[in-house]
Amino acid sequence: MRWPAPGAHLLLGLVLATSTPVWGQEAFQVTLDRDGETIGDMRPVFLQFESKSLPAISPREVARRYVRMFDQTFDPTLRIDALNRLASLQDRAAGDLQIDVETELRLYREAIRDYEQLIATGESDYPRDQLLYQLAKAHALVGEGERSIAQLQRLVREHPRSPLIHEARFRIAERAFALQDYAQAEAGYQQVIKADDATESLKTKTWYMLGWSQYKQDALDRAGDSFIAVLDQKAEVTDRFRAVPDGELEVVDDTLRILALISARTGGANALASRLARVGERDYEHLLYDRLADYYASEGRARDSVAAAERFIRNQPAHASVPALRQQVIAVWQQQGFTDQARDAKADYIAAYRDQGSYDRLQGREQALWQRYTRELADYHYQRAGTATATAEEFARSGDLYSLLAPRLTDSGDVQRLAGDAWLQAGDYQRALDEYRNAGYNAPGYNEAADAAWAAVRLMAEGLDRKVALVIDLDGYVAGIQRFHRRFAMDPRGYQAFVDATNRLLAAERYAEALTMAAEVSADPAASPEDRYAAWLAQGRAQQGLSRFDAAERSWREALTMTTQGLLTVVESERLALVEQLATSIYRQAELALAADQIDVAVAHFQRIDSVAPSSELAIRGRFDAANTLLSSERWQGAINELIRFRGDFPDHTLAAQIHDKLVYAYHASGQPIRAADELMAGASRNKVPWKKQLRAAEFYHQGGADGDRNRIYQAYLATAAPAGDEQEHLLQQRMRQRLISSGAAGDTLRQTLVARELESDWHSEASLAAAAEAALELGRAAGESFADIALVHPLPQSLARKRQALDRALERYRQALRFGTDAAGSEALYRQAELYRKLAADLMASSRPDGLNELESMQYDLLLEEQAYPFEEKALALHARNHQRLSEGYFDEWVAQSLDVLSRLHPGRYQRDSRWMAWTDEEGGDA
Amino acid sequence: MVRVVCSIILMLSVTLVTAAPSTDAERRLALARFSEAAGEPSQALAWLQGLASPTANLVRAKALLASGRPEHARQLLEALTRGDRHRGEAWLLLAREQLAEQGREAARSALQNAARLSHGATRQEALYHLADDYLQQGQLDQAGRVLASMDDGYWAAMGYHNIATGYSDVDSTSARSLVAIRVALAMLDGDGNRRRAEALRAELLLKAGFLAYQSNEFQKATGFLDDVPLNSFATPRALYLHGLATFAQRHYRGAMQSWHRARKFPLAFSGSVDAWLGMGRSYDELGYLAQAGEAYLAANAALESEQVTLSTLADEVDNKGAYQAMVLAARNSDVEWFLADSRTLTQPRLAYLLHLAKQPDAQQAIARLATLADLAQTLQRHEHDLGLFIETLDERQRTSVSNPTAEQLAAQATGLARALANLQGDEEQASRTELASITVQLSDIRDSLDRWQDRATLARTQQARLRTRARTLKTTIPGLLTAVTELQEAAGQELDRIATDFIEGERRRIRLAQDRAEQHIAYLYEYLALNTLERDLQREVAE
Repeated sequence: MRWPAPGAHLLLGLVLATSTPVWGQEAFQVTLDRDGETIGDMRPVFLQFESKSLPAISPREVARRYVRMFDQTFDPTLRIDALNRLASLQDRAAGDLQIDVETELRLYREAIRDYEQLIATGESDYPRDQLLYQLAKAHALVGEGERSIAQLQRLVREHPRSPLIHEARFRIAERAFALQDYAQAEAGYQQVIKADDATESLKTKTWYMLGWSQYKQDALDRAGDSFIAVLDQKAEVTDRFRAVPDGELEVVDDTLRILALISARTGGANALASRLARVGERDYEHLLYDRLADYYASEGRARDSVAAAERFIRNQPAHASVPALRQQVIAVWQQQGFTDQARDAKADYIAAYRDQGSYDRLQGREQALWQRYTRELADYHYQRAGTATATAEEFARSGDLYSLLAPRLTDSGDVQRLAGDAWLQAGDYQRALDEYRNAGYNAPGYNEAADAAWAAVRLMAEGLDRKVALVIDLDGYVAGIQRFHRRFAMDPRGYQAFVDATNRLLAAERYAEALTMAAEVSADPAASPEDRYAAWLAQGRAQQGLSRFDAAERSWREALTMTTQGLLTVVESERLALVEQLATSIYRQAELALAADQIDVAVAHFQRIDSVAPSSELAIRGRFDAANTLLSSERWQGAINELIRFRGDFPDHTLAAQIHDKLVYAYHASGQPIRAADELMAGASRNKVPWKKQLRAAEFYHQGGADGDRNRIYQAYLATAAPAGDEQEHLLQQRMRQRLISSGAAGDTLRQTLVARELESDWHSEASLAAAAEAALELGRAAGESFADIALVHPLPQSLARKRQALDRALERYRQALRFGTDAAGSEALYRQAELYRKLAADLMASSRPDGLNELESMQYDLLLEEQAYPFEEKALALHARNHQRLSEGYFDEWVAQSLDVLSRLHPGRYQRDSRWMAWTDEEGGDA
Repeated sequence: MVRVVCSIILMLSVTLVTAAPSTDAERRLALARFSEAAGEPSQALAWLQGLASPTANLVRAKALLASGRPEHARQLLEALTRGDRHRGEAWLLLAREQLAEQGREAARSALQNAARLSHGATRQEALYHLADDYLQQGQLDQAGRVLASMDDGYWAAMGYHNIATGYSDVDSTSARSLVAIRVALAMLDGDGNRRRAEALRAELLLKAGFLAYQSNEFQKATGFLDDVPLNSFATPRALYLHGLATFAQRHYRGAMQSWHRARKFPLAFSGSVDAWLGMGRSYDELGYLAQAGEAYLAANAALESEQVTLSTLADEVDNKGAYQAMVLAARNSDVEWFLADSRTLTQPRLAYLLHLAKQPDAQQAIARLATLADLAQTLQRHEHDLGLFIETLDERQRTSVSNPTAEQLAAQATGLARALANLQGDEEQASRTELASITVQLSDIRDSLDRWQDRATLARTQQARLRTRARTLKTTIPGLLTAVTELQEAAGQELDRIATDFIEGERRRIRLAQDRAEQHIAYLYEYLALNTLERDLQREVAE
């Protein structure tokens, strides 16, 4: 928003003060209180507008003013205007102007002069032809007929193009008619009718008068056509005679009457039909036929009257007036005492509006009439069925009419039940059922609705049981019962029906629906104890069927409660069966909880079965399953406890036999191998061939670190066991040996056995090979030590021979170890073999010299020894090199390292390198 | 500034000097033309006595026509048409005469001659009449062609005004008429007579507004009417029409502004009367029915009061004569009535006078009476002057019989001569020269004295003659005065008749307006009554 510049106010103020432009021509100027030079510049003035109350003026006062104006003004135009206004006011105020006839006549008489003056001078706003016409009218009003006609003739003569000419001609013809010159009148009227621009209302009037002028000349054909033309035009303006204003009523009625008369005089309905065929169809033909029928009826000519009406009915059966005409036919027959014809006419009437569309098009009064006729005829057939031979047909006829009638009645119950009865007796059970239902449920206020509805229920039950030919399924039956119960909740028949339906549903395994229905009965205190008990039982079954075992448990308990409370009595077997159902429902709940991994819940359900059915088989099974559940959910201690309890409570039960294995498993799984081994050993004592369990026990002892117990079992087993006949046995025994060696319970003998068995065996495992390699190494080491202990003394060949034997033994063990092929054992074995050779070489070099050798001999001896020792050193180097070679195979251990060490010392030029790992630095990289 | 004024005066004087007639004949001719133009034909004829030039004859003919002697004038004009000067003017004057006396056909040839032989305003007037002739014959195209050949100015504007009317009579739309009016307005710029042009311009705009209104072009109508000055004779009608056009655009309040203004004009103006009724209609349309009724009642009261005014005027005309009651009374109101300014437009009596004076016969009658009054006055003055003249002559006669003046003068002259001789002793050269001059003068005086005696005798004779003639004249004046009075009476009666008819017409007009106001009130009451009737009916139905 912008504020106005402060200068604007200042400028305006100054201009106002001085009235002269201060800032030159562009400045804004205000000129006050100065008039302009021209109309366009004229200074506007302030005009006041206010709403004031208006005087109450009566039409009488206005009329008085017009009369005064007429009397006082000299201007003929104003006088005529006043007169016209007065006439118009008179029409509007319905003659309440208190202007006497004399005054009126005087005014018109005086106005004649004005008209004449205006006509003569031509000084008028009114066209001349209009003035002539009004002059004629004034003459007519003051009773100067001839003069009036003379003026009209003047108008016709002098203003042949005037729009008033037709009116003028009409008036002239009227005059001829009044003088009974009908031919002349007819000619005059014809002129008006032929004019294209005559108004429709005038033409209608003219046609009417033309008709009369022709009728008066006995030209009935011509007259008839003229009257038809009148009706044509009246139809246009009266909304096809649906809204005939009072003013038109007489003319229309008169025209119809005279047309009926003309038709009657010229041949009746046929003549009328011929005329219509000639002049073309008319949408108001019914009026013509109706009027003709009326005419004949008034003359006592019933058959002619009916013929006239039926002629039209036959021509246009769908016409809106047909019901009235049909009724007229019935009335005419009745009035003339033709009872059978009247009944047939009624049947026709009923049939004509049988379909809803036709019926809906009937007027309210006609519909009432239709209902009356239908009831009469239906009752007639029902009564007649009792006596007639064709009973079923009569009942069917009656049922049909009742069924037709009922939906069109507001109070239809009685008729619908009658329809139901009629159809039942006619053997049409579906329609009977429909009608009973209609009476029972769709007839508000019908007192016997419950009986009708019950009849429907019973009919359905019979249909379901194939007792009657009624197609019904269980759904339909159930729906029917529910509907009955909903509508007639207090009716005790409803509960019985419910229980019946529930049982049918259970049988069809439609548990949910059965449940719903049963629940409704059980919850209703108005139902009898037997019905409620049955309902609880049904609910129990249904719930079980739906796997809702908790709900089923409640239902069974409710039923049981009813028996214990003495509300009703049941036999013991039934009660026990109930208890069993109850226990089963709990057991099922446990199963469900288990499936849902709700262990505690499941266990609790299993265990509580005992409380509702103590010592029952299901209760025991529940206990066992509880323990099992704990076990399978690895709740070991709980399971162990439950299993021990169960074995204690039910030692003889077949299920108790499974406890031993489960306990072993539980102990083992819960990290109690020794207990498991003990349980096994206890079990083994009861077995004829106990080794399997004992070996398992030994394994558990082994796991539990109870090596003594284990070794005992091993030693006993190895002591009695035959050489292994299969791989498993071989490996088992080797493992036992290995474990015995490891635990120090056996010495080199067992080692030798171990090595020997492995060497003999075709079956090996890594463990057995490792154990055998280790045993061989151990044996090798011991042999090595023996070798080392043998000193090479003079005489060398003997000692050397012993040493060589010792060396061979040791080397053999190492070779065995190498054969077992394990890496660790291999490298040690190589190393130790090499060292054995090196030792031999060293020992050779260090061996005692024979005494007494001179220097040369001593030197030669040394050279000889060196020659002897050298191959051993070479062998040692080769073995170490082999060990060293393993590096390139990706293997490295302490024995490889030691071989390397030895090599670096023995062959430094080759093996001792000042080598180091290249460190990975980031000096060259930078983007690592 | 002083210098400027002086030079203007100098220029004027030079002009006057150059334009001034050099001979007595020319002077008299100029005076005759002036008198003729000033509406004093007798005076003009007096000045023209003895002059026989074509121009003098033309002026004479005009004066003769103006003083009601067309026969004489016609002879003169016909002679002129055969001459070589003023032929066009003569033809035009003849044509005018023929138009007035014999009709268009008789004048046609004269007009054609006038158009052919003249130039300037004369030719334009002739062409205007020719075009009008075509218009009267319904030959609009011919008329248009004549108009197209005309110069800008009053006559062309008038011609286009007329042709616009012609078009509006035959055309179904106003397009051609409005174009003609626009051309007329443009032509008017060439008219040197500003006041005349303004008056015609207002009439043209009014006409244009009317034509546009008639063809339902309301906005166009107000566009034209907006330019009508607020003080013209056409203003009341223009305001009424302006209101109508605004009303037709459903701008009722705007219409009321125009009509309210129109109401300020006297009811003598038809526009004013209609505006009074229009106010009622506007209130009615705006839904202020009570105020509408009041407006009609107010209109009626105003019209009633106007009836009283007219009645009084009629009585006065009856008692004092129309000339006294209307013309002189208007003069007495200290207003130059012939000046159509706004003051005159707002005074009822003057307004009626103006309307009356719009009628040619009334205008003629008033002019006749005014001339007669002037004539009577002149005669009375002459009678009085002659009386004085006769008395003076008588007195002169008496005094000249015993007149000592000549001897006394001679004695005085002698005395003077002697004194002069005495003076010659004091001689100074300069004085001597002067004295010689005086001596000569004295001698001349003496000679004059001798001649005077003769002239005195002649004068006495002439005086006697004059006395006789004056007495004769004086004796004829009462007769003339009686004749003038008789003529005045006759002319007064004629004017009275015209005025009475006029007033009666106006009374009828006002009466008719009153009746129309009554009619509107009755319509309004009818509406109220029917409304009441309908309400009652609805109430009955509801109950």
